[in-house]
Order: sequence, then structure tokens, then C-alpha cells
Amino acid sequence: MYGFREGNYKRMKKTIFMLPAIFLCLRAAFAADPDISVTPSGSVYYQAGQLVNTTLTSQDAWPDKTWDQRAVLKAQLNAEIRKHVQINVGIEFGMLILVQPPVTGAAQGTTSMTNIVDPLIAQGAYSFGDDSQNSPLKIALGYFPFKYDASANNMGEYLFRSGAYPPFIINTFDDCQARLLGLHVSSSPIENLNLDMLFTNETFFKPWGDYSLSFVAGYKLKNVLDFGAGISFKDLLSVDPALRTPKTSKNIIYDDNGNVVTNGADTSYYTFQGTKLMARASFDFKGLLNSSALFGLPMGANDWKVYFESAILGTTNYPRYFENLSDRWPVMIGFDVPTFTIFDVLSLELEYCHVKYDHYSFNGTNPVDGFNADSLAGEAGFRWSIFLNKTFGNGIGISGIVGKDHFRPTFAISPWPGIDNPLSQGTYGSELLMENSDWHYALRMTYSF
Amino acid sequence: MKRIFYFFIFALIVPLHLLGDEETTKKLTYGGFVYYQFGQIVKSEDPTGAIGGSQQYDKGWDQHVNFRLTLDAAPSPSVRIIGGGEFGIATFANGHANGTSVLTAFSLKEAQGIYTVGDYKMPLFQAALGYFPYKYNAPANNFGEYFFSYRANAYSPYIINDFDNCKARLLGLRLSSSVAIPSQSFKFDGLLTSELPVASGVETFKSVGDYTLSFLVDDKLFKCIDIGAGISWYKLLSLDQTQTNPYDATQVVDKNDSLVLLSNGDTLRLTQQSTKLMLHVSIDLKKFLPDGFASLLSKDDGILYTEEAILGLKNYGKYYDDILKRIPVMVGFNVPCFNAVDFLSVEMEYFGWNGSLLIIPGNPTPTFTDDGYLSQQMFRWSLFSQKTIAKGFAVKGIIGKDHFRTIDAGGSVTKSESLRGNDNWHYVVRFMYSF
Repeated sequence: MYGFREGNYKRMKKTIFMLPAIFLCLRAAFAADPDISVTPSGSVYYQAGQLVNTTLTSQDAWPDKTWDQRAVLKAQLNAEIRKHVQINVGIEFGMLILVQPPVTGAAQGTTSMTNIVDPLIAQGAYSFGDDSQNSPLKIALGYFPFKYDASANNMGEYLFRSGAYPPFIINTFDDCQARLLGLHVSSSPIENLNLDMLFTNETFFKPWGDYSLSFVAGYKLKNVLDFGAGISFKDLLSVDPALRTPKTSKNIIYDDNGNVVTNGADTSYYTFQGTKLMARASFDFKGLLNSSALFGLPMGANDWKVYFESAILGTTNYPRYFENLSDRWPVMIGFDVPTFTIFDVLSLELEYCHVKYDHYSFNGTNPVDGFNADSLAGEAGFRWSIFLNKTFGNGIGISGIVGKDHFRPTFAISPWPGIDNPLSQGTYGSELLMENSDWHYALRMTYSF
Repeated sequence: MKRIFYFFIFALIVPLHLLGDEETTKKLTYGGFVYYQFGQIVKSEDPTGAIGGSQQYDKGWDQHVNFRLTLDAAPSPSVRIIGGGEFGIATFANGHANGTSVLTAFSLKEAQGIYTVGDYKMPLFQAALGYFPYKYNAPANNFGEYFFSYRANAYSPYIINDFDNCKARLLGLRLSSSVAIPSQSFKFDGLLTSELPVASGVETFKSVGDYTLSFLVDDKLFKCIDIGAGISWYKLLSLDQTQTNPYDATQVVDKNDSLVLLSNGDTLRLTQQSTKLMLHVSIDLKKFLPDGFASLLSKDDGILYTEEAILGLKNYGKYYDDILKRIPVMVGFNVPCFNAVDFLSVEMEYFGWNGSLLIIPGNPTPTFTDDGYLSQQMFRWSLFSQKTIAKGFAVKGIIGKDHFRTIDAGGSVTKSESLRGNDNWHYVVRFMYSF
């Protein structure tokens, strides 16, 4: 009945199980200390959505009008000890139901239901200074969500929600952030400046277990401008170089003349390793006004924002499959449409990333597995989405999305485990929205505390 | 699976005891249970497990250890969030070669948000969304609760009994309203639910996901009479017609084996969609006894109850030609035990369906092959009892010939019955600690 992916779990087990033990020891040490507070949080949501139109090549697995619904419970405990130590643990449970119309040639569709258990967060952190929320230095270790672009609602967050070789991008409805395992050091040396250093272990994309080193910086200029940049050395330290750079016949680099590319006397092979760059900026027009209202109408906190993010997914070109930097250069622009507090957020996001070879068939054994000359390249480059969110108070909220984004179907609550699910090689990890007419929608109702 | 269990324990259970903050305590409570259970199919119609598998051999021994944790949060007086999961281990042993198996599983049992206007138990208005348990016939302990596909179906018919779980689990939206006046309380429920698989090992009526619309009313009179009724349009909203009403579904023929035609000339085919009706009534006979005598009885003693349902209003040719054959009738009585046990309920059921109930089918076509049990399967019976030994600790047991199906560790019933013959019976004993 359970659907937890054993592979992902094994990779995270040491960190996840270490943290509760640390927590228990700390609890024992400070058993009578009144400076320990534990705050629970969580949510329950019901979501329904549909893959309205999908690419023709995916009709064999994910036909048009596929219906996706889920009920999910998230439970989290947040402990703070003497204002310096924070421990967060959480888990999510859910059931996912898929109803699929008939695939090509079949008379009848199929349905499936999967129960899912996934870790949500498992981290311990130590904050220096008196204010844990605005700490000059904070060190966290474990499995945690990470978001560097507060403005992005669906697209963007490319630095960790992407691959370089091959390039791919992930979008997750109402969860525009990455989930990382490792060490996170953050600092705010001066007001409005945030610096992050992350040393993370790859748990979702092959090659599993490799370590990446990343640096992210962001600065807010008054309440108007927020900009930042980042660099990530993906797979910098490899636990198995043979997996990071597979030396197989299928992975040999050939030039356009069909000759093997060599590095001295050695044959050159494609590698998963790469360097990613990111830049972002957001402009809040409300910061230019000295009022919380416009024409007498109240402005929401997210109204009138324009934001931008771009990234280079792999700074090195390689012949044939990765020869143009423009094929790995997504650009996203978003605008928070003013709704005058009718909605909390109504964002329109557009993305362009030139596609030469498809992003939607990612096998993962080596960087070029599954690559096909993409006949849809011209249409696949453009993406769009409209996202809305409204909180009614008392913890009730709704969110919705419609668009043609990097939607990937999986049997997981979020794509993170599914993108490289051993059960979903090549198909279930695939993107499905490539043609201009492709789109999907989803609506979620959430109770949270 | 064991590691997931330990993570679950450490991540949630152990820190829960640290909720010493008064404000936090008000907002979040937790509960659950642990139980050990054993049971045996003493005599079945499937002694070699040829149909039901090795778990349904005669004298097969069935053990379960289950643990459930439920979190209940109330972030505000009008909102409540309830979620819980269950972990279980099941072992089956029947003494035959290759006749043992061990299953472990985790399953989500509840994940709902509830918004209430008024009193929580008697709300002026209440909206619940998510995955939730639902029970409309309070006295029913084993049979009954026919209204939802979780327990019974129309085309083609099945009935499910699950020991100590006489309720449905639904996914979707529930809207409720109630009115209380002296000597009477009235409750109305409207539900829009998405169909879920009802048994493991079966594709279960493809078109899992279709939406069913149901309405139930309940009226309590004079604190001793409870009358309820309901109507349900099963799979009213189809997500994929090729599954809800497959083109290759059996064509309907009349008694002369002639095709039944629609007005447009097409042949009529069987469908999963159906309309169900339900009626339940219970009477607490203690209210008619002298006070002195009634005080000797426990609160559940002396309740007489019944439930009937029509599993599909519409007849379809020779396959579903008689509505009376699709009406299960259940009668139960809580035998007065004078507090020796919490309750002892005797229940009987008659279901006159003349087709096979052996296996939950994957399509609406019934099976009429007489395997010798079609006439014997109509009558069922069970004795169910519970005794609370100490606070939080109880023993429960059942013996009977019901619609028993072995369950896996995750709580899903298997697809086949095994107690249809007149001399078939089974028993289960459960030791449970609740907190």
C-alpha cells in the first residue's frame, strides 16, 4: 500500500535518522529548561487537476484529459531551544489517484491509486546572535526546503530545480522551491543582504550521492528592488566518478564530422558535472508609492511586482548535444497582477528556453540518454502559467494554476522523488507540455495550522 | 518499511510529549491505537485457497499488529484539521506448503479539514474536505452501512464486512447541517465523493476517481428512535466514459435473450453507474423499561436496529431483472449483558441476490454460475462483542458467517469472500490499546 521510493530514502536515511536522535539528546539535556518551545504545524489539502492537452508522442502513457487528484496530510514539528537551536522534522502522507482515458489503440482507459509517504523536512540549525529569524550566521544540516527567489510562484528557481547535462527544468504546483540535503550556511552581515552557501548531496537526480557546492547572494534595496545571483558547482565531488562521467560507447563525444573527440590521448565523454549560474531581480512598484492604496483601492502585498530570473545550465559547451549555450539558458519573467486583495497572488509567468533536443525524455543513465532531435523545438521553448492563491483566514486557502509549464507526471506528491523514480525511466519523468496547444490546470484547497 | 515506522515514531510521536506549552496543547492533540489481533477461518467454501489464495485456507491462522496515530489540530474555534496514518504487519499461516506470508504496509487513514459554524457535533453548517471516515448507522457493528461502494455495490453486487470497521472511508466533500429541538434532532448530509479502490488485488471497477453524489438525512426522536434515509447517485460524474461505461460492456438481453435496444437503435449495455437508496431505523428499548431496571444495563444494551438498501433502482434485462434481489436487509440486536461486556450484538442479514458474491468483479456483468453456494449465501449472521478491561484497553471479538475477506496489513480487503456455505464460519479476537 505504501509508495515510498526506497532509493531516495536510502540516500537520506543517515541525515534523517541522526536528527531526531540529536533532538532527543538535547531534550534530555534541557529537560527542565523553560527556553524550549515546540510548535506544531501542518496542513491537509485536497487537489484536483487535469492534463488537458499533451504532446502527441506521450499519448501512449499520458493521454489528454488525464485526471489527477490527491489528498495529502503534512505534519511538522518545529522546536526552538534557547533561541539558538532550531530543529524541524516533518512528514507528508498522501493518496494519489490518476484516471487516464484510453491510450492510442486501446478501448479503455486506466485508473490507479497510490499511497505515498515522504519526508518533508528533517533539519537541525544553530543561529548565532539574539534573533534567530535575523541571525548574522546560521548553520543548518539536514533535509530542508530552499527558496532564494521570493517572487517566483511557479517557474524560476533554476539553480536547484534543473539539470545541466542534460538540461531539464522542474516545476511543482504550489511548491516553487527546492528540497535539498546537506549543509546550509546563511548569513546576513548587513541589513537586507543575504548570503547562502550550500554543500548538498544529490538525492533525486543521477548520479546520486554526488556533492554540489553552491553560493547564492541576494540584496533588497528599500522595498523596491530585490536582486540576487548564484553559482552552483554541480557534482563537484563525486562518490563514483564512473557514474558522473560514464565511459560507455553511448556516451562518447563525437564532433559534427563523426570523429571522436579526444582529450590528449583519452576519449572524451559527456559528464553530468557542470557549473550553473543564476541571476534574478524583482521590482515592486508599490515601493515607489507612499501609500498602501491606489485610487482608493487597497493593494495586496504581492500586487504590482515584476520579476525576472535567468540561468545558464552548464557553462561549458560540448559538441553535438550541448554545443550552444542558448540551449541551456532559460529566461523567466513574471508579473503579479494587481487584484486589490481579492487574491493574495495572481501571477502571470512567461519563460523561454531554446530547445534543440527534447527536455522531456530524461533517462538518466548518461547525460545523453533519450535525446532525440526535437521536432517540437520551436514550440517547446515558450512556457506560461497563471497562478493564484487566496488565504481566507482560519488557515483555509485555495490555490490554482493553469498553464503550459514543465509539468511532469509522477506517482509522487511532488515530482522530486518521481523525476528519477526507477519505475518511471523515460516516461513518467517526462515533460508532457510541449506544443503550443498543450496545457494543464489544478486547483487545491488547503486547511493549515 | 521498518525504518519508515521508526522514522514515524521519532519524527512525530516522541516529540509530541514535549508539547508542554499550554497554547500548543490547546491547538494540537493526538490519539491512536495499537492492537494485536488473531483470527481463523474455521470452515470456508475455499478450503484449499484456490480462489482466495493461501490466506483463505481452512484453519488458516491470521495475525495482525497495527499501530495508528492521529493528529487533531484546532487552529481556531471554527477550523479543525485531522490527519492520521496506520502501520501494520500481517502474517498468515495455514500449515500448508508455501502457505505462509508476511505483509507490512503503511496507509493514510484520514486527512481532512473541517470548517464549522455552530456546535461541532450539531453544527448549523459544517464543511469537511479531504479523506475521512463516515458512518451513518451508529448501532451497526458488522453488517449494514450499505450506502457507499466502500461497503456495497449495485452492478454487479458485492458486500464487504471488515471486522471492527463498520464504516466507509470517503474522499471528497461533505456538507452538513443539523437542527436540534426538544425531543428531536435532525441532521442532513450532502456528499460529493471520489470513488476509491475497495479491495486489493482488483482493478476495482475501473473509473476509480469518478464522483458520486449522495444525500442522507437522520432524525432522532425522543432520544430512543433513530430513523435515517439516503439516496446516492453512484459515479454520477464520470472522468472517463470508456471506463465508467465501457463500450465492450455486456449487452443487455431480456429473458428471451433478445438484445434490449435504446431509442436511438444502439444496444443497451451494462453500466457501473447506479442509484442507491437506504433506510435505517434503531430503537433503544431501554427507554420503555422501568428506570430501576434500565439502570442495570449498559448504554448499548437493548438497542434493536435494522438497515435496508436498494442496490440499484434500475433493472437491466435478464441480468438485473428483479429489484427485490438487490435489497440487503440487516437486523441487529444488542443483547442485554448487564455490564458484563460493553455490548454483545447479534446481527443477521438476508441478501437475495441470485448471482455469485464470491469475487468483487472488475465490471458490471454478474456471474450466475451455480457453484453450489448461490442459495446458501443469502443468509449471514454474526456475534460481535467488546469488553473494556481498563481505561484505554479493550478486547473485541467476532464470530460468524459474514462477508469476511482477509485484509492486508494496510487494511485493504482482498477481492474474494470465503464464507458462503451454511456451515462456514470464522472468528477474530483483537486486543487493543487506545490513547
